This record gives sequence, structure tokens and C-alpha cells, in this order.
Amino acid sequence: VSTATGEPLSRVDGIAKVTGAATYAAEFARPDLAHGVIIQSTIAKGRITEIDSSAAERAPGVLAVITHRNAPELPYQKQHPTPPVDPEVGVQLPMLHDALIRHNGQHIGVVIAETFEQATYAADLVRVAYAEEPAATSVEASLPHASPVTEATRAAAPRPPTGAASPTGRSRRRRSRSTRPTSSRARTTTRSSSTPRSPSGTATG
Amino acid sequence: MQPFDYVAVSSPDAAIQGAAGRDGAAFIAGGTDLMQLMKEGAAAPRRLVDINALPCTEISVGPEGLRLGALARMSDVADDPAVRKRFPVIAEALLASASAQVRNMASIGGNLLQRTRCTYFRDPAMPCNKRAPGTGCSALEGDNRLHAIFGGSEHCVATHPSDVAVALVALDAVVEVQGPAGARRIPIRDFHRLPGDAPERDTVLEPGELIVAVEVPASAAACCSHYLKLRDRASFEFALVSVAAGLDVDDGAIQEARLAAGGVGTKPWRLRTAEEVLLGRPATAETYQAAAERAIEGARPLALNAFKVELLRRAVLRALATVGDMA
Repeated sequence: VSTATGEPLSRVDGIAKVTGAATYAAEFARPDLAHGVIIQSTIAKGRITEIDSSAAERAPGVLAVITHRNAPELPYQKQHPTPPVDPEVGVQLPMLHDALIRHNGQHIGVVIAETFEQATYAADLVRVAYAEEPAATSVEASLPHASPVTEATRAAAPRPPTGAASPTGRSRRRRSRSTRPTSSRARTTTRSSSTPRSPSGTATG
Repeated sequence: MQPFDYVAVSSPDAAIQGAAGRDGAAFIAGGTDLMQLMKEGAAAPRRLVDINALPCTEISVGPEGLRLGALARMSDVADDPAVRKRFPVIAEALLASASAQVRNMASIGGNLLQRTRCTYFRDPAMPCNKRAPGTGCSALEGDNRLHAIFGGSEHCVATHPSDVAVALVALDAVVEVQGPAGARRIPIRDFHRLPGDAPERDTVLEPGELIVAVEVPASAAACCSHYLKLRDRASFEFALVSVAAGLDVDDGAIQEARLAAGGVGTKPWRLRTAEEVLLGRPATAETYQAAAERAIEGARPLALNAFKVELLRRAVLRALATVGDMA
């Protein structure tokens, strides 16, 4: 008779986790480890007209600032058979592939540096200008324009190359500071079209 | 996060000196709010003056009232038997705040100085007059469900997030401050500012001024008091509406009444006209109803937060019924 049931068992990593001694994936030190911090769009729809990463590139410890302008293009390789996780509808969304902004918070760049703190600081120094377009943020308001996805529309959708290699090491998100676009409607449309991030971290009250 | 320098001090004088004349110096105690603000890019102090070693941790209750050192931790104050007995509204407000881990770190002084939870304030990509004066208020036309129905201006409608400050405002606490120009005592009702046309200033503190203690006068209503907090989830969440209530009832008649609300004002909101309704009246449901009606007078809801008006009315009613049963 097995004694594996009906008896309390200690998790092998239980003590490490409740005492805070367990190591997160990002806490493993490896030789020559670089750290990446992601830059995110601050608008919901439009295109990037300019990225000024010169200050970030000069910042201490920075190894690279990768955006759509310099990201390596990777060919999309169709998998056979189609993996079951592929959705029935929609298209692949390549990262750092073009200047188009498709949603608020879209990843538009990544800063690689020798330390996480250096990458975080440098990501703050990247300035992005956008040509903003009105975004659809209401399902109800968009319903009149909706149409069912068919074989025909799916076949017509482009299959762009898939995403660039992601850097190893810790990464976190950083929303880019936008330089003020020259277009006068820029901020008002941003306000109505982009939802603020939900609060994160600790709460005091 | 911007690079900054760091100095640890062990006396109020050294702290004030460490910050004096330096643009962008900030005191840091528990760091439960400031570290978040720095990581999010909503604050970028050039220098942090660490005051955790200051000998300002006392929690003492005497005949005159309660004295809390600025560095008393929220958890220690909430657990103090004399505070729980004679100032239950303070203990309850503290225990309704944050999480056990945060309360173990967060100080009483820091709690009063925490910044608003307005999501636009905490997102450097968005216009916000409180974070970046002159850029505009995103909440006026934006997602303002959590914003203020009292005390807002055309420049800012962000609420003050503290729970315990609501209890302290109800009990007429005094904030003891030291600074380059000496010491002063500020009634807590005057400590937080209305946003007006300068929402970047949350309090009347001058640069380099340091909170050293908070004093709360003893009162019969403080002994018979309660904090009611209503929120979107039952723990680790800020108030949609909260009410600090205290009553002293003698022979069925209300002798003293304390009422303040959180989650509804751009500063902790004392409900004085509602208190006036209670004074001298019998401690009955009809009286509480009349006070609750008065509590919502003058509310100016925004597009998405009209629910707070009715929620406040009912919260006042329930908090008064609770303390009325205790009295």
C-alpha cells in the first residue's frame, strides 16, 4: 500500500520560498549577463515618426538600443503541422518590425545594458515622437464596423516576419517619454484613447 | 529611475541639515510609497535622506491624549493596546490599510505624506498638473471613477489616499514639524492643502521641513469611535468611500460627534455640518439619517463617480449606527 496519500508532505522548495531564500529566474547570476528593459508606446494608434536614442546610447553601461530601425529581421517560418496553440483567427504580431503603433503600451524598443539599473535609466532617456491617429477603444462603438473573420479575409491578411530575438537577463517594461508631437491634437487624442496603467506594487492607504 | 545620492542620519537636526538648501532632496522612511514613485518615474529626488534611525518611534497614551512619533510603524500603532482601547478609529483605519508587510515598514509620518493613487499622476506619459504643473488634468475628462467629489479644482480632482489621516482629522490631531526655520505645530485640518491652482503641493510643509510626531487629544468620542472602509475588494485596496465616526452619548443625547470621510475629498474630509446636526440630538436612526443627508451636501461628482455620493450617505449612516450601538 502506498504511503504517498493521506500523509502531509513538505514541498522540496517550501522553506526556501517562505523564507525568501528562493531565487527568482531573474536573480541567477551568469557570466557576461546583459539586462534588457522594454520601451512601450504611450499612444494607442498611429506611427512612430522619430526615435531619439542618442542620450540612451551614451549612458553608462549601455550595450544597445534596439528599435524597429535596427532590429534584425527574422523570416517567418511556417510550422508544419500548424501548432495547436495558433489561434483560428488573426495574424502574427511581429515586434520591432515597423513604425506602426497598434495598441497602447506596445513594445517599441529594448535597451540592453550591463546592469538592470543602467538599462532602466537609459530606457528613460529614449524620446519618441508619434503621428497619432484616433483609436477605437469601445467595443460598442466599433460593432457597426465589425465583420466575421472568414477564410478569405484570413488568407488576405499579411503574414509578416516573426519577432526579433529577445535578450537574455532581466527585463521590465518602461513607457517611453514622448516628445511633444507637433500636431496640435496629439495630447487630447492620447488622453481619450489610452488607458492609464493599472496601479502596481504596494499600496499603503 | 534617475540616479540619486543617499545619506543616512540619526537625528532630526541632521536630517534637516542633510536636506537643507538642496533642491530635490527627499526624506525616506519606510519607502513604501516613495520607492514606487521613483520606479514609476513619478518622482525623481536627487538625494534621499534616510531617517529610519531617528529616535521618533514613540507610541504613548496619557491623560492628555496620544503621541505618535513620526517613525512609529503603522503595524505597531495598530497593535498598541491603549490605542485600540482609547482610539479605536485609529487602530481600525491602520488595519484597513495596505497589507501586513507594508504596515510593518510604513511610518505614520510617511503615511500622511503619501501621494495620490490617481493613475494619471503615476503614469509619467500622461498629462497631470500634480506631477508636472501646467500639463493639464487627464482625470477631468478621463477615467475619474476613483476621484474626488469634494475639494476638486479645474486643475486637479485627485483624492488623498490615507486612511489614518481621515481618523486623525476627525479627532483634531496636530502635526509636529521641525524645519530650517524651527519647530511648529500644525492642526491636521490645515496640514493637507486643497489643490486650487497649485495641486503639486499636497501639504503646507515648506522645503526641508520634517514631521517628528503626531498628537491626538483625548476625548470621549475618540474612545467610542469606528472606521468604516468601503472598497472594490476586501483587502489591500484603497477606499472608494470611508468614514471615521466617533460619538459621546450621555443619557441618550449626543454630547460630542466626530465625522470625517476618505476617498471622497482632495484632502481628508471633515464633515462638520453633519456633526452639527448630531449635537444635542437623541442617538437614534432618525438623527443619523439627518446627519447622513447633510454629509453629502455640496458634493460635486464627476462623470464616472456619482455613485460615491450615495455610497457616502449610506456609509455615514452605517458608521454612526455602529458607534451609536457602542455608546
